[in-house]
Amino acid sequence: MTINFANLLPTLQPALESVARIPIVHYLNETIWIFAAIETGHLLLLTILGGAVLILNLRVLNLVLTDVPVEEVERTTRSWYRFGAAGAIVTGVIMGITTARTLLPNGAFFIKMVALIAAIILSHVVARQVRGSRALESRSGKAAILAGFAIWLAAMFLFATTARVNPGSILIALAGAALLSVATQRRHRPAIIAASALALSGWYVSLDALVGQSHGIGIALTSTGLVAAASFPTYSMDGRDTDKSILGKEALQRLTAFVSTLAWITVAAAGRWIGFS
Amino acid sequence: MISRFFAYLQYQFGAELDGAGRAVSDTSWSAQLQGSEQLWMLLEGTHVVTLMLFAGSILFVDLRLLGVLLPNRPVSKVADSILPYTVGGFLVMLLTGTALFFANPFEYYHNVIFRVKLVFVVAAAINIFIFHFRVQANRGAWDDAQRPPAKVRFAAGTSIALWVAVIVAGRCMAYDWFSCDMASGFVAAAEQCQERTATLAAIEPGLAQ
Repeated sequence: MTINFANLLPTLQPALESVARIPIVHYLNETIWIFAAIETGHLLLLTILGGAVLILNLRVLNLVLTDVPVEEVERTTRSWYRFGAAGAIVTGVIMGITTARTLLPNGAFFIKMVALIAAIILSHVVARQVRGSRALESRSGKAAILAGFAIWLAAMFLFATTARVNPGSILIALAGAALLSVATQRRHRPAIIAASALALSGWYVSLDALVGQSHGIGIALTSTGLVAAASFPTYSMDGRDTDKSILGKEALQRLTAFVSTLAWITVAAAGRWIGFS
Repeated sequence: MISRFFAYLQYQFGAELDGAGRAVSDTSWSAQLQGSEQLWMLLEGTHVVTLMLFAGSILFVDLRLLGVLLPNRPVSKVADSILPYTVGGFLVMLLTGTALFFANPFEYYHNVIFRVKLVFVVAAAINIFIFHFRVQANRGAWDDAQRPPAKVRFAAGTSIALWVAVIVAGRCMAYDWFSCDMASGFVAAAEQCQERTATLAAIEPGLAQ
């Protein structure tokens, strides 16, 4: 299965190709060192963006800078997040326009765009909540979280079921499992492993029945299941430095930070798989 | 000798042998890893994505050392909290990077951009070593300083510059601008293209056609 912009929006390709024929855009695409410079800039900006997102989300998960109020961490990473995101989008758009002919039929590019929407929504919600706007309590905040989760799960489903791209979903699963294992207290790990195995089995069976067998899909769906399994037990996640159980609003905030992290990793991984597919 | 060793790794190590005892092409372990496609993609993808964790986290520690980020928090609190993730990211990058090198060792060895990248990695490692054992020796004296001393800021600035250089070199390795097929003059000498040709000629009798 492959879903891409060329199939979904067939009128987009001719429009973008006409833009690609504009002399300056054509020159950018044909001049390898300029394209390489933009591509390298995109990677560096993604690194800044990734660092800012990780620091804030890991703080929300109570894993780093536990002595620093989370509001201060959000305030201090905000400008770096905005700089990294804006720069990565601008360089991404430049690369996208110059290579529209090959990007639009590319399944990994479609997945990257879907995951990007989820990542931006979830990061926005985490930041707003940390700033004390009660984003998680408002109806619009809850709707945004639900939309973010649903869009990211859709991106993961596509990642796991798109031919030649699906190994990338294993990367997200491994990242989710690693983050979860770091974030949970040792005494809760057996329960979390059991819950993960249960969720994994459920996801594997349901998705396998839904989609059916095809080449490589078993591995892909297993990895999707691992991601889902890694997501569910975060409700019981209470950090390493505290004994109190986290319920309700705080649990939702941590779950949002957790999924936001995975959503950005999905964006980066899908971006890498654009070149592979 | 090093060239010969990497040529052996790339073309002969683990390879099937024909009746005459010559290595059958594309059957060495390196060739199999490179040809595995999905495993190679997973390794390469992990290497690039882990960059966000490694370089992203070290950037924020360096920014604190420069006095730009969280200036009212002790350096020790920021560094000790974030650096375990940096180290974790580095270990994953080292592991995947080594596996990726193993997939094509002879060509990487004779690639000038790979050599430049290695020089930057070694320089960054030396910078970390100097920071850890020299600059940080009296951390207690400037731990709470909003703007740490010049030598600390210099080490942090050097760290950012070197890791950016590593990333740029790593990205440029994807292009064959300076491969031995096209290189001449200084670049050809820097990547030892003559030795590469001699090595290929020397191992040819051991390879099945």
